[in-house]
Amino acid sequence: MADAQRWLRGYARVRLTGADLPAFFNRCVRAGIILRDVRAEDALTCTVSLPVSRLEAAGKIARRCGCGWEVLARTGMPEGVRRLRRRRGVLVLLGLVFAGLMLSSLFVWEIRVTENDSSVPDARILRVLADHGVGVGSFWPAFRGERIRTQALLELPELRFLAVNVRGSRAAVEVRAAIPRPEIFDPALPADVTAGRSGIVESVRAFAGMPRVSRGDAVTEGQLLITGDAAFPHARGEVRAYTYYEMTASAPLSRPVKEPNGRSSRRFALILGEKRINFYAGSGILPADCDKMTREWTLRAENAFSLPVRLVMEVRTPYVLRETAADPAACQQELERQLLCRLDRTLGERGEVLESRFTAAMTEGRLVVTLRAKCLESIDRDLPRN
Amino acid sequence: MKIRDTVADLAQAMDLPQEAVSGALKITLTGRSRAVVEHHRGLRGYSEEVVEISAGTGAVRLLGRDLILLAMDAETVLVTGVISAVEYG
Repeated sequence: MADAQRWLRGYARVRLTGADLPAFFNRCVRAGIILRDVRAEDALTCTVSLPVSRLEAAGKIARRCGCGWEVLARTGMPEGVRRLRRRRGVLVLLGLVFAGLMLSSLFVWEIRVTENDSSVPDARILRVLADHGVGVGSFWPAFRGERIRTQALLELPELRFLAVNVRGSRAAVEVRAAIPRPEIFDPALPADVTAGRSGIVESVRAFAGMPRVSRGDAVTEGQLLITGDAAFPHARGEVRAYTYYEMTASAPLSRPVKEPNGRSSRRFALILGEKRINFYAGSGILPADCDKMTREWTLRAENAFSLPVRLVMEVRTPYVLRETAADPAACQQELERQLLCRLDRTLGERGEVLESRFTAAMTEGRLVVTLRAKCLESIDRDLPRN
Repeated sequence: MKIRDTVADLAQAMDLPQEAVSGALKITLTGRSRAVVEHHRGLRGYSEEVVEISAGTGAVRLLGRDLILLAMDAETVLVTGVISAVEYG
């Protein structure tokens, strides 16, 4: 920080020669001149850094003390400005660059969706915004936030909130997913409770209507569990039952693994706004057995400005597929994990796994794992009567 | 001289820092490479081996090698280099 201040104020390196250099130093500090980096060259000579603004005053003191005085170098911002004044062309160029940057910052050159917690893909949100004039190259001072939000939300009913925040030339689109509307319970609507899955009934709690099954009954999917009556046409209740699942997953015991084959090649392209300039011949279609990795660099200063210039580098690496034997134990473990995940997803919050066991077998070069599980879950499903 | 001593005694009795009350020289050494001298009365001599600083009632000499006056203003002198001794004269 102190160095930055010194640079802003500008300072000069001076060589002093004299018999009484301490007298010069003492007079300088009494005059309020701060001396820095005093280095003795010999008994009568030293070099010292002084603020450029106090150079004249220090020179007078040196003459009064009978010291020789030689300015070796001037550095810092004032010196830079003084040099620039002599070079009109550079000054004009700098002015033009600055004006260009200022003008460029009024347009959006980079737009991305942030914090998207909805199921709507970013690309769809950006496409809808582009249809309403918010895209790369848009003049952002003309944006009307409320209008953009209203129009975009009409086309994206899965969202409940959308905002476009512009900082410099970068637009960040913030979205929030819509909260699903809760189902409205109509007590006058005739409806029954039926079994959503086959099982053995563990408990029946009828809140409205007449129960048709009791503990220990075996029920099949779709079977009537609680029926609505004259007093409560819309039957309601909770029926929990023991259910049984059998799930199978398989995986090959050998799998192809990519191995780089030959040298990688690089291709470059420049994207100016929406226009892409390829520095290579041919198309972007990849030959068979070739990987492509793309990296992009945008010309920008973080949180300050962004320019519509992007450099793209594609690295193409050819490969060969080699069959590699998989570890059966690891493969079985992975399949078991996948099956348990699948069962958890199927049960959701309506049930829990009581017992589970796995069996594994090899069939035609594949490992087949079967999960058999006993669960306890709510099988009641609301079914309106036609 | 007597008044200065009395002020110093008074400051000591009141647990006040002496350098703040009597303007006594204060030297802060950081290892062997850096010395900050506050409340100085001017420079008496300077070379790569000796920096002599006036302390009003006498002088303080910082002895060493490759000594540099990194900064100097009316209150403080900052000396860097390899300091081997501090002498009072």
